[in-house]
Amino acid sequence: MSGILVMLICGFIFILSYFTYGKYLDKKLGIDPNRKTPAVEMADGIDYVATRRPVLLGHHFATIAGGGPIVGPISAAVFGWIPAMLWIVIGSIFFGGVHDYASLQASIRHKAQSIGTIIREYIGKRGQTLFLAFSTATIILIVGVFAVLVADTFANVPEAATASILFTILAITFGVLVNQMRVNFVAASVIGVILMFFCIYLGILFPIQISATVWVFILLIYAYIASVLPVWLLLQPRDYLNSYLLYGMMLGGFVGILLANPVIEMSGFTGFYNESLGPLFPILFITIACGAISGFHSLVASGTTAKQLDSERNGRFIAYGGMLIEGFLAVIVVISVAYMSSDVFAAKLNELGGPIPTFASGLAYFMSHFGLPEATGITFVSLAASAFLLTSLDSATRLGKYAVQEFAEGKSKLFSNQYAATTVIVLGAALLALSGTWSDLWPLFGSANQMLGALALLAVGSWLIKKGVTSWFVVIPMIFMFIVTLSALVILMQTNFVSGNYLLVVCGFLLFVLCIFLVIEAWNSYTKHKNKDVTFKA
Amino acid sequence: MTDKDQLNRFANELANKYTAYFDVYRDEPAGEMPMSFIALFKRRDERYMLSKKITIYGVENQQIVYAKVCGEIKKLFLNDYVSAIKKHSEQCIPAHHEHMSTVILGLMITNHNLDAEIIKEVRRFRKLKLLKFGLNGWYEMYLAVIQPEKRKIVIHPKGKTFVFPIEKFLKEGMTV
Repeated sequence: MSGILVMLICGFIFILSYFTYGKYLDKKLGIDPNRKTPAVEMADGIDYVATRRPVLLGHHFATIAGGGPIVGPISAAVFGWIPAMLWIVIGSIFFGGVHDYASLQASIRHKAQSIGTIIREYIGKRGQTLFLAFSTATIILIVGVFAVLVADTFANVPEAATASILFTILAITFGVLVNQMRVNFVAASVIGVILMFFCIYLGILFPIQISATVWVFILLIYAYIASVLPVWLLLQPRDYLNSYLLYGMMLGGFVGILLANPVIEMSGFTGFYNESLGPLFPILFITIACGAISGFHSLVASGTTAKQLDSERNGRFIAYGGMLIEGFLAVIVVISVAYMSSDVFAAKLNELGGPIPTFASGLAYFMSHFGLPEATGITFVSLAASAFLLTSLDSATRLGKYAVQEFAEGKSKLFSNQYAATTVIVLGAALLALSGTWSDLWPLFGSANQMLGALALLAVGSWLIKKGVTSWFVVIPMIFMFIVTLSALVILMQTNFVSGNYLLVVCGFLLFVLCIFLVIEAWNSYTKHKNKDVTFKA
Repeated sequence: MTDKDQLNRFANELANKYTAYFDVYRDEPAGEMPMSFIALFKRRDERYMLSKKITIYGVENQQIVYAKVCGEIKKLFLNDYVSAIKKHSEQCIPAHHEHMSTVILGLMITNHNLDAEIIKEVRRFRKLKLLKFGLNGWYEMYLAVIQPEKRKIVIHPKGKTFVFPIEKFLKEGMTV
């Protein structure tokens, strides 16, 4: 089967669903283009600023898109390309898109309070504390697994390691040029993008060869430093330049596939059980996270986006559209490996040391068809993918630092200190990173992430039921995600126990227990609220 | 109406324009030096998770505008003016890691002719200081001379962006 055909069919389905199912969601969510959004109603030029939708889509997409839509689909391709593709397409349209869009609209209706406020409304303060504990465990997982993924990439693509170091220095320099030296922003951006490619060139000339274990330590030290530095110095300029990498990678991949016209050689379906990952259900559904549904989208992106939306009508474009674009990125990722037979793919995954170098190799092969040397393509794509993981690493470490300080407040002066709190997160992540490979850690992270998505859907579902709106389009995905994540955690505990990875068994158990408590808390609050007329506090 | 009255009227109208986004304090002195107004703008950007209490990071940016109606501007006055606003603004700059930048703008409103030396001094004037080696952000300071009669503003090229609304204001209508 032609890769172009698959890509175009998926693209067409996404576009069709945007105009059909998206419109249906508009009706169900009660979108009123004449109702003022918080950005308009409360416009203060500071917190609530109406922003043009293409700009907002760019911000929103760059926030939600990360390493997830790359790592997940590659990992899940062992079940065959068809199940992976089906979950990406169906998940993006009916699960992730609904989740992101409904979370955004719920946030808008609550004067742009975050989905967390809505969760607290229904689950209560105790539930929110449990949620925070659950999120902290997930955060440590994120830092651990992302550190391993990047370390494996740098060890196997040392050119990307050099390029990444240079890119970090470039980002800091860009920040100083724009912030302190007040260089013209457009000029600085053009220079920044040109220098980005120069970093890739230098990376190819001077690759840094270090083992993956050493890279893990270096990256965790980087995460520590990056999380305590001011955001305007590294995180913000790095985020900005990253978006050019992302768009360049997607465009290059799309054009490359059109020109290469790959034929899909990979098995469509290899069976309901895989030796390394386990049973297709539920593992497929937690392995592919960000390319189908991801809990972190609603928690991190919606609060910011809701304050900038100038009309409810544009919510579909940004939240639903953003998720569909991420789904399309995941489709490109699958095609980047599906042109290989299953045996070749498995061998390459093993040889190249992980999903990111494998993805980079595939996409670079396609991009070579428009003249980009493969070595350059591999370095570019590895840099782009690892850049997103590193930004998530920084954000996750900051979040974890906050969580530790919050728990320590009033109990321990030592861990209330930001440096000590950050050390806790980094040490926890180091323990995890050194305890297993990326393929052991990723499913655990996926389960936790999907559980967050299920909880966000629970909050939105409760809001809709209270409004008297039939909410099956939220409730069905929510029930499915709860079943998937809880059963996945049980399977993972069993798998890790058999392989002797007891630390991961304990992690899985903790997540499972927290999940159960949260579900009980949510059910109790829901049944309590069902018979009470609760007025929303905006 | 005397020239000074007209300039005071201009300063008052300018203060009214600032009230849209700034906290404006009229006839507020900066230490020993009386000002027509002092305007303060604060902006805080946050990325948070779950609720506003869980902040991934926060960034604060400020602008402080000092406006004074002046007579003839001489070097000595310029030095005193800079000292006064520098000393006063220090108390407005927060000393914590979420502070990103404070931009201090010292406006001098006059219809007197300016010496070439003063024009040069004002155009060259730009102070930038990193706070705690940049960990607590930085502040930058500019001087600007506004000549409403000539509809002219003299400022360092990198400070032009901060007086762009005043230029518009001068062109649109407020004539003295």
